[in-house]
Amino acid sequence: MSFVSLSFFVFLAVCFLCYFAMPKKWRWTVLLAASMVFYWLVSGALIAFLLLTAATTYGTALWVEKIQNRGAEAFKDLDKAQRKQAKNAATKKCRWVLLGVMALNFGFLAFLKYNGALYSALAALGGLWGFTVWDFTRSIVFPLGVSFYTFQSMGYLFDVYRGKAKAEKNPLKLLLFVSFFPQIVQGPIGRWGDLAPQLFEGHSFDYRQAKFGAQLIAWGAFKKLVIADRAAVLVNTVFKGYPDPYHGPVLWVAVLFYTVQIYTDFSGGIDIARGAAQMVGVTLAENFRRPYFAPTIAEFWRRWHMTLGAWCRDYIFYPLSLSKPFNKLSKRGRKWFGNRAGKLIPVILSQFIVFLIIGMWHGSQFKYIAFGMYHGAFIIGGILLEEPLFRLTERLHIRRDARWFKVFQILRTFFIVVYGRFFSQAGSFRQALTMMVSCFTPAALPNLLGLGIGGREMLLLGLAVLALFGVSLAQERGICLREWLADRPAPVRWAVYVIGIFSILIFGAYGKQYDATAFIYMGF
Amino acid sequence: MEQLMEILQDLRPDVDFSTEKHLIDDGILDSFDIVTLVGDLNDAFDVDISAEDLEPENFNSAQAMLALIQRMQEE
Repeated sequence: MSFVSLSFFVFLAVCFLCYFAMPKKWRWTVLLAASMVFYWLVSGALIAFLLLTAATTYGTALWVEKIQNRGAEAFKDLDKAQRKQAKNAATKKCRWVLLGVMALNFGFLAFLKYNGALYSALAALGGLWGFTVWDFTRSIVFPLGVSFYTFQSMGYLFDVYRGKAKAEKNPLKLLLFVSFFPQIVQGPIGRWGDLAPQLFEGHSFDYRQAKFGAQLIAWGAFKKLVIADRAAVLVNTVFKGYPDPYHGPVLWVAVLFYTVQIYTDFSGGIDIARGAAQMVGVTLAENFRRPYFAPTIAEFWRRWHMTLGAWCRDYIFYPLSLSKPFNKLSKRGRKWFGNRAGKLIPVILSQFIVFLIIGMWHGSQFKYIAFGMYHGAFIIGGILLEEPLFRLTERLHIRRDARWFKVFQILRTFFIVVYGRFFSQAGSFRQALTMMVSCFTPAALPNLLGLGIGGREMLLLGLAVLALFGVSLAQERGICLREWLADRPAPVRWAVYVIGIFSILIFGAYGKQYDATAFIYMGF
Repeated sequence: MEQLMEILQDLRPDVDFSTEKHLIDDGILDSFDIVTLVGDLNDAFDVDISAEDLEPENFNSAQAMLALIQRMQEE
């Protein structure tokens, strides 16, 4: 059941009606039942993996809290030094428990993503030692949203360990937090403190929320069906046909289309998820803030897949960069390389590790790790070159707050992002490098209308992207279009609704050459 | 407070730390600033601020940071 299928919208409508028909106290049970039905319909028996993650998360959180509470009881009659010692002992125990459950859940995720590499390694060993390895990769199935619910569950456990969240006593409520259906497919990755109270509260029907939610769903469907799925045709024609006959400037066209496609596909899906949740009064975390308007790569990652970025920042970057070993390194670095460079060592190392993990998260092929390193290199370069570049702009009398300079920064960042997209579309790391060189070879641009989409389709795509750009520009200037529209007279509002809905129905990319069933990030 | 203000001014001379109350919420201090700042605060005040203490309410203003430092010194 895809987010852009009729069956999903019927499912959503039934869920919406049942939610508000239920007494307020029990409305969360409708969300739980809907989440279980949705997962079962999409993944069948693979729901067992989701239940296993929920069960281990539930038990571990209670266990960690119990260790901490027991410790707190024992601290009462101790002096300061003894208290510190007892607290450290309790913390150590909690860490071991957490490590165990992390090994289980992240280990499972890693196995799913890296089973191909594991099999190759085992098969190679088998060749050397003379034994045959059963090809287990053929039996591997990928539970829907496994990355997203694993990250969300582990985030909750870390919050319990840090004392930011209380362990949930009701296993069904915890299951709802792990499996809430709008976000299970591709996020956003929710935090317990923000999401759980909203899920468990019985929201009253609010016309404005329901209306805004429906509008967001329609906008997401527009992005996915009118833009992403149409752009995908040209992208697939060029990249699946590579290397012949496509090289030179046509690769730039294709990678530019892919840049548009991946953004509208992913953010469109997130809009549908956020809209569906908003209809029942639940506000999901923001996952995109117009990333292609970012002036730097660091800022791009604060605007793109924001919930994954925030997760990595809070649970990997900070703990690593503030850890004792990194602190020691920093102190040594200050002695050897000076104060500023020494302070940057933990930041740079942690940043490197975060981008390595982001790359690995995207897939097992080396091209994904290269993708992470590519972005990491620009961010680390940005930190190291910040001062020299600042001095350079001062020497050249460039006003950094001038409008042209900001536009230049946005275009520069956009170029870096587009160029890095070759890693995603190439079949391998080697092929990505070839493409990254080949795109600069002089060659005649082939007829763009012969790349899978004709003149009418291309015109539609151009107009739709222009509409997206206009909306993004308005949002970038702080205008909330949904609120603006809500203040217009009824005939204007309804004219916009009718045009919007019909443009999706008429201009959406349907038919056998389009694939509206899958979202790109479902595969992660 | 004086010592804390010195560290903050040294880190970000472009920010008025005496009046700013939403350093984290408004994104004025980014994650790189925070890591550098925590390292400086740990050294200067002999405390052990870790990732668990990185709550926005502890770093939104100079006053909040001072309160965190004092709390940690008392523990």
